[in-house]
Amino acid sequence: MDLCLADHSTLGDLITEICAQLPNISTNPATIVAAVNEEYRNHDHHLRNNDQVALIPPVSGGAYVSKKEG
Amino acid sequence: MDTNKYFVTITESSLDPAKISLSVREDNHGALVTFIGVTRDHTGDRNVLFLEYEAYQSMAQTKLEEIANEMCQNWDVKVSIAHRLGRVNIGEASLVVAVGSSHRKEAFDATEYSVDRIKQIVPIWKKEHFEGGEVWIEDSAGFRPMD
Repeated sequence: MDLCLADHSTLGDLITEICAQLPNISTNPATIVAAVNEEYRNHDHHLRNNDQVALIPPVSGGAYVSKKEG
Repeated sequence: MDTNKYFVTITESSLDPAKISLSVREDNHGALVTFIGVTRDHTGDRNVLFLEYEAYQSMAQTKLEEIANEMCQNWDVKVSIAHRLGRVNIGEASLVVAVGSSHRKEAFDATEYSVDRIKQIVPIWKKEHFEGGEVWIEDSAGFRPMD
C-alpha cells in the first residue's frame, strides 16, 4: 500500500487515508488508537519524516469475561 | 529511573512465579506479593483450549517499564514484571507481577495498580482458541491508553 501525505499532516490524516484504502480496519476511524514512536498520541499530533506509527487495537492482556461470544 | 528497583521481561518461555517472586526479596522486606495471571479453561460457557499472546514487543517492554517505574515512584517497593508471549496452555502463567516491600499494604496496593495499568496501556493481545474456533479478545472498556 502506498500513501502520500502532505507536509504537516497529522496522525489523524494518516489514519483517515489508511481507512479509506482499507475500510475493513474500522467503521469509525476517529476511535482508532495509535502510537507514534512507541508513545500513544492524539489524532492532532503532527507527523515527521521517519516516524514509526502503529495502530493499536484494544489490548487484552489480563483475565476477564469476554462480552464477545465468538 | 532507579533501574535496580525493577525488572521487566517479555518472553516466549514459560514463567517461574516462585523464582520471580524471590527475585524481589530484600532483607528489609516483610511482604512479598505475587500476582499470577493464568489461562482459564472457559470463557462464559465456551471451553477454552489455550491462549495465544502477541505483542508490539518493543513498545510493550517500554510500557511495562513505565508501569514498574510508576510503582517504585508511588510506593517503596521492588518490582519484577514478566509477561509471556505465544501459546499459553490451561493453568500456565501468562503474567507474573512480583512486589517486595517492608510492609504488606504497599505491596498489595502496588500489585493491584500494576495489573489494572497493564490492561490499560500495554500493547499485548490475546487470541482465545476454543473448541470450534478462535477469536481475538478485545477489552475496549479496559483499554484507556490516553488517561
